Amino acid sequence: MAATGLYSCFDFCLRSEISLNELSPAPEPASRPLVEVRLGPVPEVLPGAQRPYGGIQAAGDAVLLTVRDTARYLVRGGREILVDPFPHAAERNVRLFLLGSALGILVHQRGLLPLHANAVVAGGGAYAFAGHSGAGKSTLAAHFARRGYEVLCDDVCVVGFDEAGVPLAWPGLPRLKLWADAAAAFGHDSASLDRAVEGLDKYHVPLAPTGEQRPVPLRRLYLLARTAGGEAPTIRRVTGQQAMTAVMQQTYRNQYLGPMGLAADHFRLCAALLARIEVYEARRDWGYEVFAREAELLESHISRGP
Amino acid sequence: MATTHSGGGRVKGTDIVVRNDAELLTTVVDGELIGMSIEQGACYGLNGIGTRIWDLLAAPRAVDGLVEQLTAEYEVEAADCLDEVLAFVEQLRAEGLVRVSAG
Repeated sequence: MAATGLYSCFDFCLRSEISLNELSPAPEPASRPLVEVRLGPVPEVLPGAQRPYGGIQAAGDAVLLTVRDTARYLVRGGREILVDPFPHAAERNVRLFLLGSALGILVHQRGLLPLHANAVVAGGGAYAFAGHSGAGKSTLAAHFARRGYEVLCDDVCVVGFDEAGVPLAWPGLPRLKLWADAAAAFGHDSASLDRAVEGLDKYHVPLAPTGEQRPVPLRRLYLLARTAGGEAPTIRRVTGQQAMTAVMQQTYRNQYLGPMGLAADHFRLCAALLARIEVYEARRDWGYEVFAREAELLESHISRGP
Repeated sequence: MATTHSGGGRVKGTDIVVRNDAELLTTVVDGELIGMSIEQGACYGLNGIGTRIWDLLAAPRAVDGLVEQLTAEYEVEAADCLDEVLAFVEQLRAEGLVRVSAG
């Protein structure tokens, strides 16, 4: 029997047989719902599931995720994740997919809305930044961290709603994922950092722990895009169907929603979010040489009211 | 007995249009009606007149009836309106959002 650790994770706690140093330890006894992470055998085929789709099989409240050479994960009812690592799997990768796709499935099961975005806190509100891989999300977050802002989450911003319908962004994993060159640009030596993925030049840069795991009302979502060469950077409001499409596209692991039977619920969550937040598209220039100027533009936009 | 058009048949003015409510979720964002087809997972934004047509289809209606109502509400020639409504209904049918049967 493996030792168990108790960790804070969004609006719940993880009790895990796998050590998860990426997360903040939770106070004991846990005051939030417990989600169990166990090691154990997971079948190759989930009984009653339709054909595998997007790497998952879904049946009832269970989802089976298979990651080649790494592990099988069985995620049930938003309450537990059973992990069955393949022989010779890299432990780092087992944790990577546990805290990535498997946790993403669990979050969907719990009725939360995970956005592929990071978020910073300013004036008591959270501001999220989304964009395709390589759009500079993490580099931007590192900039905000250096400027003294609290970085709420990197990569995935998990949003829940309070009784009044206010969208709340939860603190995520207290680290940034940066490519070696970006880490170096912010004064980190990659030799002293933890590699994010085996064989990739991408590293975890720890963030100052935020202490209490409290959610922050989400105010805006910025969609990061690139200017066509030489154009001036612009920030413009996006509304209606465009905003809806953006939020649906920026939902983390949205390819699982159909097979999980959650497409309709997801549509309602996106509509509830858009009733309360503003969406902007921020077109920026590229490259480290102009980065500071671009980041300052966003920083001043955040500090201005609507 | 009314027959349902096969996919190939063109929609006619006398045809009855029936909304497939089970297929479409709707919501309003920033004053814009947005629909999502559950089957296709795609998101649609309906403009002002599209929203009005969708509302009018709360009860099954003939295409001609839609045109009559819309020409009374909007400044549009009946012939142009019919062309546009037919195209719109074709589109809704292609997306599986309505069924069309001979009137």
